[in-house]
Amino acid sequence: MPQFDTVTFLSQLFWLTVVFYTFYMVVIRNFLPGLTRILKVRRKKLNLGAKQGSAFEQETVATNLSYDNIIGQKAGTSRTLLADTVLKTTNWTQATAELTNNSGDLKQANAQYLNSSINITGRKILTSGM
Amino acid sequence: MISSPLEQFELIPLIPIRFGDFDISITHSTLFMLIALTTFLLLIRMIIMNNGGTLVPNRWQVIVEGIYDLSMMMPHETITGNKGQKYFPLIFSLFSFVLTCNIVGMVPYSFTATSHLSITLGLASIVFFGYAIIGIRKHGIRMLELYYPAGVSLVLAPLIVPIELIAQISRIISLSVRLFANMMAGHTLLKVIAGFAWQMMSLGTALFIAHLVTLAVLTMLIGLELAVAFIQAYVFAILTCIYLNEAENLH
Repeated sequence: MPQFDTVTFLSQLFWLTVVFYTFYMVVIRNFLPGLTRILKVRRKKLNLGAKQGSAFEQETVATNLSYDNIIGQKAGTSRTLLADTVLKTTNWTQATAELTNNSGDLKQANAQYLNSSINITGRKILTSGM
Repeated sequence: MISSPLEQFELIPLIPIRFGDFDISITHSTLFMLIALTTFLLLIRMIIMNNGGTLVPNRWQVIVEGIYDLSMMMPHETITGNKGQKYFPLIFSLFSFVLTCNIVGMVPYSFTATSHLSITLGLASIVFFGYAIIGIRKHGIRMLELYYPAGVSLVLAPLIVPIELIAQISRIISLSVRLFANMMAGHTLLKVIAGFAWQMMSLGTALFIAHLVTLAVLTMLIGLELAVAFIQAYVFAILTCIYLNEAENLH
């Protein structure tokens, strides 16, 4: 196997040392700072974006809340108004019905109707007894 | 012409340099090492020079940032007590060196520098001696606790000290032989199967159809070898981190 040919070990190790040392130094001096800068800038941007995003989110929540409040208030007002109107209408209807039933011609008509219905039922009872 | 599958590891001197008995000629290995690292550095340069990189990374930038993040994460997570940060450049260089050499070796007709024991032994001795020097500078004589942990009774000492000694020394061997053997075995296997397919192809019609199967296997093995190239680089870097953790924290 060529790997165990000890004659080549010196040149291999020598050039490995040279190449690796150069690589290490070049990477440390020129390349890692640039890469680190990219990643740091990105992290900052992401943080900033997240912060702005959360601000927007809070504003949305607040807007939604106030909108709901207003809607709720107005719905309550219209509900009371509606209930009020219904109550008033019912009262007025009852009062008017009572008034019309107890006054003038309608009262007489009622009385006559009652009398005649009593007569009719009384006669029916009498005749059915026979 | 079918040659030995090991012939691809032959070192061919490109520029012979000799000082008396010392032969330091530039070989294939050096050339492909340089090609791999120059390509990698040019890739980073391309990204950095492009207005200092883009905020949303493009594909090449994703590769480089992946390597950066991985080699940032490894020492950070392995070396306890937040001491991993200062080893990041070393891990980054080791990881990218091994990775690029492995990947460049997968190109046909190229040469894998990491398939030579001398190269991997050199890399492993960087780690091993660096680890010993860091440990001794940090803990002084207490570094010997690695061989004789505190709290072990004196009766066990003749047993534990040789075991620990062997474990320590075998680290440099395992680190280098693992990488070298993986690379060499993979490339030998590919070469053997490629030669097999070549011979089948030249033998006749029936075998010509059958050799397509061999080619399919070869293609799959190339995928496997690419995975091995990455995994071995990762293993090398993570083991370096583990050893450095011992030097920093003494177990």
